Amino acid sequence: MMAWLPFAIVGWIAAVALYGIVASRNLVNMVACLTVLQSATYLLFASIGYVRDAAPPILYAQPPPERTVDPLVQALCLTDIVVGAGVTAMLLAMVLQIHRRTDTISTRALRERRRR
Amino acid sequence: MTRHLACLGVVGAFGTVLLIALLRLPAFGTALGPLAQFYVAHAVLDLHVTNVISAISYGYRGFDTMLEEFIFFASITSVSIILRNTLETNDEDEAAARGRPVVERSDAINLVGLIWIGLTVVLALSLIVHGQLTAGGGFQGGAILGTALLTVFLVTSRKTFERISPDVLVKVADSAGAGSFVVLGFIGAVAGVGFLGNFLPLGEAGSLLSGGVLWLINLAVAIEVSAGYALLFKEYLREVFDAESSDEAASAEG
Repeated sequence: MMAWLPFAIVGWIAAVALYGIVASRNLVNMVACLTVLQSATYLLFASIGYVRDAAPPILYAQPPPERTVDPLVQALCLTDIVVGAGVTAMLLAMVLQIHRRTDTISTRALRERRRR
Repeated sequence: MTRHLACLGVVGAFGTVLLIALLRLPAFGTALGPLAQFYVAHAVLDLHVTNVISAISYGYRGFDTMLEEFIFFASITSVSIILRNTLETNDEDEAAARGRPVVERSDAINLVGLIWIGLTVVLALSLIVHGQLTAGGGFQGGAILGTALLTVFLVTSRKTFERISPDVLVKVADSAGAGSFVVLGFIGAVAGVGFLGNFLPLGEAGSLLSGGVLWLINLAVAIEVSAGYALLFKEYLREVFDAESSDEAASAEG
């Protein structure tokens, strides 16, 4: 019964982060919610790759372990984390530039501005 | 209010579909898929590398990692472009003359900072160099090295941070790291083993110089990631400090 709990948590975090992105009134808040959504995908990778009673996929010890956890999803995940930090930095730089030009970071004010 | 209800409706629909899809995955904690079993069984034999994750990242799927590194490089470059500033003032004495308080650093912060930065740099270099043997690698160690540089700014001043990360060095290291990945791939193609193929002696699995070209790719990625983070911090610090002084100069004149 506890087997569905990790996936339920992934779905919950993804739904909450998506709600934050869609409904946030502050651009910095939106970027932070995007970071939370990325964290949900990292948790999904970790949940997919887990194998019970298994060792990490480091075959350095002699003899090597028989059961290891999934190395493929970990390889996908680790580049994603570093690249995600860079993309978040770029998004925050864009928010800074928006504030420089329009003196506001409220989505409501920006929407009014675009309508004018 | 209706906007919030509409948002909740959309997110609820998405969440339901996601949950149904997630519950159809294989049960939590079951055995590996066939591709992962292949990688675990063949990584040491093919590449003489004991860290299967590094073998996948830089060996079997090195092309994907190269493109992800280009994503990182592009995001750092776009930060430099977006935060371009016309006025550049690097004068901290000028800032002090304008009445901003100049606080003396306490000895406790100096001591803790020295120990902390030293340990962090050693950990980062160890993770980078042993990437093909045990847990670690270029991405992880490079990110930790970047945070060590930021800790230098936090403990000391901006002047020291700018001194240890000069503009030319950081930019050249960033580009060289990204470029040498491609150059190593092309050397493999010219040598006849395919793009990003191995053309160096593989060494003995478990020793420091094992993995052939995979170890060099590891080092290139580490240089690129740490220089990229340093460039990112420099750009943001320039935005905060120099924009402040240029704003004050503009308001003082106008």
